[in-house]
Amino acid sequence: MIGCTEYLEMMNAFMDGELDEESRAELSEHLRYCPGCFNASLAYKSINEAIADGETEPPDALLPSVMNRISAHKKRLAVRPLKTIGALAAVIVFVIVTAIAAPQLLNRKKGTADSSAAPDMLFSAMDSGIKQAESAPEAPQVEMDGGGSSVEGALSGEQDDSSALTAGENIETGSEGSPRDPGQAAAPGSKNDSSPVEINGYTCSAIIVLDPEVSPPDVFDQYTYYSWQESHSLYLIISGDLYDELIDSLDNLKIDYNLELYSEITSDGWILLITSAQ
Amino acid sequence: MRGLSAELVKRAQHGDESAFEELVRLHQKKVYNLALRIVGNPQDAMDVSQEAFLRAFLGLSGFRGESSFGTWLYRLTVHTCGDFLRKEKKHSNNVVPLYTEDDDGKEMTVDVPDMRYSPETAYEREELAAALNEALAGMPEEYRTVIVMRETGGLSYDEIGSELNLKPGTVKSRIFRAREYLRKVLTESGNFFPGEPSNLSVRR
Repeated sequence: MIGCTEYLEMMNAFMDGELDEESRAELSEHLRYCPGCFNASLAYKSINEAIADGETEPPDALLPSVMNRISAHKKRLAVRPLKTIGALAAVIVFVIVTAIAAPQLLNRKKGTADSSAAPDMLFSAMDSGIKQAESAPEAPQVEMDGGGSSVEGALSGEQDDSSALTAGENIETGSEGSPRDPGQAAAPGSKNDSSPVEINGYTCSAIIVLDPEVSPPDVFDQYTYYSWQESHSLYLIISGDLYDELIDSLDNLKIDYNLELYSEITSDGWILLITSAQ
Repeated sequence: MRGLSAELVKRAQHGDESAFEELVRLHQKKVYNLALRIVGNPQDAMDVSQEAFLRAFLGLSGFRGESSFGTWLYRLTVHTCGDFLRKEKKHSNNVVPLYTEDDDGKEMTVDVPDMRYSPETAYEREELAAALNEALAGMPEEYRTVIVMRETGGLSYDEIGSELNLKPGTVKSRIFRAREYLRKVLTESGNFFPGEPSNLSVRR
């Protein structure tokens, strides 16, 4: 025999469309003879309506402001000087992944890399002499497999065999992470020259992909939030300076990371993908 | 609406900015109200709404229609609110207990006369909505967020849970407590008749 508290809980679930048929009948029966719960149900209903009634009209300026910000954002990214990024390239090896490729990366299964599976993916790796030693040497490195670090364990179970990430050649790493299989050549459309990378019209030097299940540490506050998706978030690092700051911050915070391609950076499931143009 | 949004999303994904503008127009009220209720003031709600739409625009290519655009957008808005609150250090980790009275588990038997909540006049509805907004604003953030995500955003327990990193059972109980809090506050302020269930033991 259950009490009114349980019936109120059932009523809540019912209102939220999350109560099964059998419980619904039971609740309905209870409401017929329990005036307290019946009154509560009326109050709940009024609360629902009042929440809707209490919605206010957004300011007229919202729509134009949004569109202005979009224009400004595109313009700002398009005209960014690339000098700092060029300097950065001398010390960091990077890969370039399009926004389309990134989710595929996160959903990829081990050992399924196949460049032909992702024809629209722009991917490039540049051997610019990465200094892995810069990355928190005392912190344990994340285990990475030879076909490209597997990240699915830290993310939800959605996986897609067809969405493969291919690594470019010449990735040099001093970490435990294995170098990419040179046979996994850059995908069609990849570029190995030194030009900056454009993603959806934005010139970028780096992208960080983070598991959205966990809140980002403050260190990410200053980075441009590029994209939010069901399975992950992308942070776009626009300037080399910010990249350096990030690395410093991560080191100071003793957050483990791996510059090879992407890695878990803490034990709580963060995924960090660092990519960069030259 | 959903079909229209889907069509607009498709066009916006192909670079049609006017389609995105239309999406903003369609969803701005929900987004703004979600933000307003979570961050608590119009100026910040305006900023957060803009940021959420900007993120939506930038992340549009990643929207694959697994949920409705509205659901995706509202989750993104909540996410943006969370980032905002973290950044502004407004986020409090103190969990304030919703219920302070202690009934010692004592069974309360209340004779409830036939006082049904009467249909409200427009004025009463307005008054109730105002009282409710006030009650929402005074509610601990953990509870306000879930009830707003549910009521204003229309998100399911699972969706709220995955957004806030909570188990669906926790979401369910927080929504329940949030509603009970509102009912209690609004009853005390004279908006509802005080009909208590016969053996309700309010848990802390």
